[in-house]
Amino acid sequence: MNRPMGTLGICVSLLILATLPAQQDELRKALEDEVSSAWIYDDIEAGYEAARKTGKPLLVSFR
Amino acid sequence: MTGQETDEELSELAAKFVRVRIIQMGGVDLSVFQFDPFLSWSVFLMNGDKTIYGRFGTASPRTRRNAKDSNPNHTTAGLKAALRKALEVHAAWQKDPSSMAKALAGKSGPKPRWRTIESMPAAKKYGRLGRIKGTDERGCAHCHEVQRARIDSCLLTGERIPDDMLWVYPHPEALGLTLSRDHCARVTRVEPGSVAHKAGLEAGDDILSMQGQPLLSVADVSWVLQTFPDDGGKLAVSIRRDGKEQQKTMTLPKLWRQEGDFGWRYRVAGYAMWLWSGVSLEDHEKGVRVANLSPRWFKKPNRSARKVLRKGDIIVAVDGKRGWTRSKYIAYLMREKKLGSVVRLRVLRGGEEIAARFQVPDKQPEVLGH
Repeated sequence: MNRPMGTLGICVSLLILATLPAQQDELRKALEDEVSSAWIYDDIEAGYEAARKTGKPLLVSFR
Repeated sequence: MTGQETDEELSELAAKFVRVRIIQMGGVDLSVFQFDPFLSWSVFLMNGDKTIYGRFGTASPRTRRNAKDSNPNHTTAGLKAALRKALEVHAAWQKDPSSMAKALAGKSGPKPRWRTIESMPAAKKYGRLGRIKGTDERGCAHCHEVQRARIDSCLLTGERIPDDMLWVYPHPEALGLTLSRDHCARVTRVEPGSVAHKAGLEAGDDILSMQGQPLLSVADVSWVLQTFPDDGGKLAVSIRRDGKEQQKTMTLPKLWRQEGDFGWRYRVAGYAMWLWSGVSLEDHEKGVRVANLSPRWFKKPNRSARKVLRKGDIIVAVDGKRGWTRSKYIAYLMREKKLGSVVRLRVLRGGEEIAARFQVPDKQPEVLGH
């Protein structure tokens, strides 16, 4: 049985940051929110589009 | 949702999803994203066409706010189980959407009264959508502010606050079920005499679906309960026991939701409790006990109530009626008492039953706000 995780402890490992779309990157930096480039940041429409294009399901996290 | 620890299996599973991180509730379409507003972290697993496969993220009285903001209801194993199940559902959906359409229809909730927090009368009146810190962007609203804004909006418009807005996202314990945190929906204990017990559920059962909806996590059970009629009825359950699938039926009584407690949801219930009743309350076998006066940092408690109630008092009757719980009492004050009206109490104090009365606020209180 896994030990309980803190909210921040639940997730994938940090990856090296790549360039996010400028607006989202600015937002992320302003909030000092460390998140990997694997995540679409605060843009659900971009998420829908990416899911439709790739055929992958969506994981939408509210934090 | 960024990691402080690495779990390779979780990384591999997550990589099979398009991942989106939403950091504030401004502009969020509440007709799509309906979830327990008490959570500081919540996940939707879904299709790009907005079909929802399931939810992950559960609040309970064990949820605490501390330096780590941890929620003991969540584990890595539980999240991985949810992701695996979501991938199965996704594969089935892609192969033949019509086969899953009926099962997944219930995963989306009824059309909400207000589609975004911005459109709620309370959000407009109280101007809660501030700037996101450090940026020029507006729309900063926390998840729990959605619920507060809804309740305040009902108060402003005179609409009755429905049961499912106060007793939100009932925990499986409302059915007498304790579920494992590490599996989708595995029963670890059934409360004797409970709804689940009477339906024949046992520890060790894996609940596969409720009302035809596949269950990815405990949150999906709370979702089924959130959308279940307040008047009760039959709840269809599919389980796997000893490798075989069985069908069970739970019977929820009328007004089943009100037998639960929402008083621990302090972000809304706490404020409402102090605004209307003036004091902190807890359930007691004889009634509703005054646990404490409202905290000093809370600026707007009902001062009329604070003058007549003392710590340790047990409220045994309200306006001539008995049989109260904390939640029913708070709901009664908020929904049934007109502004400025008097509340007549019978209170046990020092072993003696005495009469007390106070006035509910005479101006519309605002639950919204930190």
